[in-house]
Amino acid sequence: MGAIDAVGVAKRYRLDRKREVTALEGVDLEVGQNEFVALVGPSGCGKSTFLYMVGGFLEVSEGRILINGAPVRGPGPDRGIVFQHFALFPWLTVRRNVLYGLEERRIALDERHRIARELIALVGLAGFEEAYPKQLSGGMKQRVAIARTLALDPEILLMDEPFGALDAQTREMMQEELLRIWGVRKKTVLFVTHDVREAVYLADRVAVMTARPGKIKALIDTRHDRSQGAVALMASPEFARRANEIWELVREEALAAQRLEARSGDLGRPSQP
Amino acid sequence: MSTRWNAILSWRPAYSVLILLLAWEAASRLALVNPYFLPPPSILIQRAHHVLLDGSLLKHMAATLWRALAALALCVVVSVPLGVAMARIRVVHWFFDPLISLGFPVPKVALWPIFVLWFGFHDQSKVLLTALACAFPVVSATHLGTQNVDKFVVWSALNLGTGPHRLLWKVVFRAAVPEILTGIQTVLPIAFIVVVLTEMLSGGVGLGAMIMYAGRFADMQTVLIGVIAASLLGFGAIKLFEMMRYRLLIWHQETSAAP
Amino acid sequence: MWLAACARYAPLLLVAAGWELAVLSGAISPNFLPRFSAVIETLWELLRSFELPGEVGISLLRQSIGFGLAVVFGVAVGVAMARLRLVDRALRPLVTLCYPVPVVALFPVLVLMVGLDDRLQVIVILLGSILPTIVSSFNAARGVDQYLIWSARNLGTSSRRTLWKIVIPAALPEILSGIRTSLAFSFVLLVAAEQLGADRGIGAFALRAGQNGFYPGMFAAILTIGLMGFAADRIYLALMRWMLRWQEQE
Repeated sequence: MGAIDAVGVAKRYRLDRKREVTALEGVDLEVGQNEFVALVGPSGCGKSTFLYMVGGFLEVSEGRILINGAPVRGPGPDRGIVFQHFALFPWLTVRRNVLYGLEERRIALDERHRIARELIALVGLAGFEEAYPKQLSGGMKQRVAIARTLALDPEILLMDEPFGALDAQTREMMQEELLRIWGVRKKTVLFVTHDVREAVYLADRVAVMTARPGKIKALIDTRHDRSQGAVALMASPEFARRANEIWELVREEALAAQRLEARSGDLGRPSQP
Repeated sequence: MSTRWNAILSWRPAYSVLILLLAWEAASRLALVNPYFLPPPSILIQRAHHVLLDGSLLKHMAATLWRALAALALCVVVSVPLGVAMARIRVVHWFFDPLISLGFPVPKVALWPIFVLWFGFHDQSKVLLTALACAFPVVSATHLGTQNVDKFVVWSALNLGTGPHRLLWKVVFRAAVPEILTGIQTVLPIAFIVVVLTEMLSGGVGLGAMIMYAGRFADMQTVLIGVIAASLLGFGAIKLFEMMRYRLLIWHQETSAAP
Repeated sequence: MWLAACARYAPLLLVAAGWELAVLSGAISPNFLPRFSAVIETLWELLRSFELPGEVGISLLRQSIGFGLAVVFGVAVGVAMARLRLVDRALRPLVTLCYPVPVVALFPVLVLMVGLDDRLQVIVILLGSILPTIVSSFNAARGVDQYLIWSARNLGTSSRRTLWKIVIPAALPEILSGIRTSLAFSFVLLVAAEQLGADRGIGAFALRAGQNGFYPGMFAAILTIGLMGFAADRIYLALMRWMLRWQEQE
């Protein structure tokens, strides 16, 4: 039994009285304890939708999702989530954002501040405690989001294209940061991205999702030795081979998705990819 | 820096005002405009001084001010919860949406005779009608602001363990505050205009009443003083509100510099 | 589609029904609030006798002239201020100074200047509506994407033609939106001006009816004013949509 167990998961949206869209159909995925699994696929395949269902923000139409054997019942701090556009509380400072979850859980005052201080330092934002989100760069905001989520020490970390809104250099830096943090605080991670290289670099396994209606097309093992550092790793032939293999799979699905759209015209895609 | 011009915001109490006042003085003294209708500022200032000293101007200003503030307070207390309820509870939305959208383009001042019938000629009718006139934009702004709160911010709050009641107050409402304050800011001038208008229609105390009374005696100087006093009240209220908004929304994207 | 419209406006029927019942049951005295049915009857009577259409016609005439002039001059001035530094320098302080002034308060001055006739109402509407129109047209014209303008110049459009071919169409959505607000405001001014000092017009009629104790007539007139404002807004909205039919739907 893994940390996350999805069995036969389907998601359907009703567009109007006549039309229904199936975003996901028959998704089976198991994520083991402290495993880092990346979920890739063409745009609109439903990978974020799946993540939101694991997070408990959306309901499953069919099938079930189990967290440590128990079915998902709504959102909760056991599955911390980090969103692509940071979703920080703009009216709160960095410190108060990080403290937020701790306040909700009514953790003792000095304990709260200790944890917050630790995490802000962990993500490298010491000194910026009193800044407001509007004063921060994208990378910094995402670090606050990560610190805020980690404050409640969730067993599972859900990440929805967390570096998608950042520029290339910042993205690479954040990937390293994430691995460093993950090294310090082991967790189960489900990471959605459309960047195949990012997925291969970060994950233990990469799940490839088909075009809509999405299901898992393939699962590729991407465990590798990261001790040599990112540059050397990314240059290695092993890395390139895996990345290409996965990229080919995604490409197939992207083309299939294009054909699907062309044939049926615009079906009125639901707002979540 | 935004190049949008909010005609109230951009007032710099310096050169341009001075030049205009001088131009006015000249035009009036030289009879370029009829000095009867538009007396020169120097004379107005003398008259204003007189009227201020004997307390009558202040009495009228106080009355207008108190009515406008009461109307605004009443409006906010009713409209903001209603707007939030409309965004969150379907039945409330279903019931009030057509009323609001239908009522928006209706000139509320047209209801004055009804208000007089129901509430008489004194403060009540004035304050209530003004509150009604201000209610529509505030309900609308609150409704939209609450509805358009970033879904992911709400989900983050849920993810961090916020219960449904605290969610509404701690997160949704807080996120909607900028739009709500904008809505209130929009109706500030409306409040003063409607109060003055109702005072003009019913007499008694208040700048509007003072203006109409003076008008009957063709006392243009007092009329103009009344108009200027009303403008200053409205202007002052807006400026004060902007300052308060700046303090409250120091975290907001658009609050880049002090007004 | 009609079913959807009915469902949407059903609450209005509820309010009307509630109104009728409240008075019928005696909970509210008919001196305070005539029965809804009585108001409708009176409305019908006034329509048939052409009394109401007459007053409405007068009001509409005043409103359209005042508002029409305000739109034409307001947009012209606003756009001119946005594009020509000279005009901006000259007019900005004047408009800024006049903006917070409640035009209705100037009524006694205007009465003396113009006298108590139709021109008075028209001028009140004109003066009151022109300032918000100027400000919103200015903002609209200012806000035109600079890249659009540069593209046009790059393709050989002269400065003057750029104004007509690029700036105005690009600013049109916002200008039209500003005019919609001014339209609603012009109705407020119309009613205010008529209440303050007119003997004809629907606003004056309503006030007089109240003073004479003819309450069903008063309510009927006010209902009519409401409908006028609402209808004008809807018609304008349709016109606006038609003019902006090239716009991408959000």
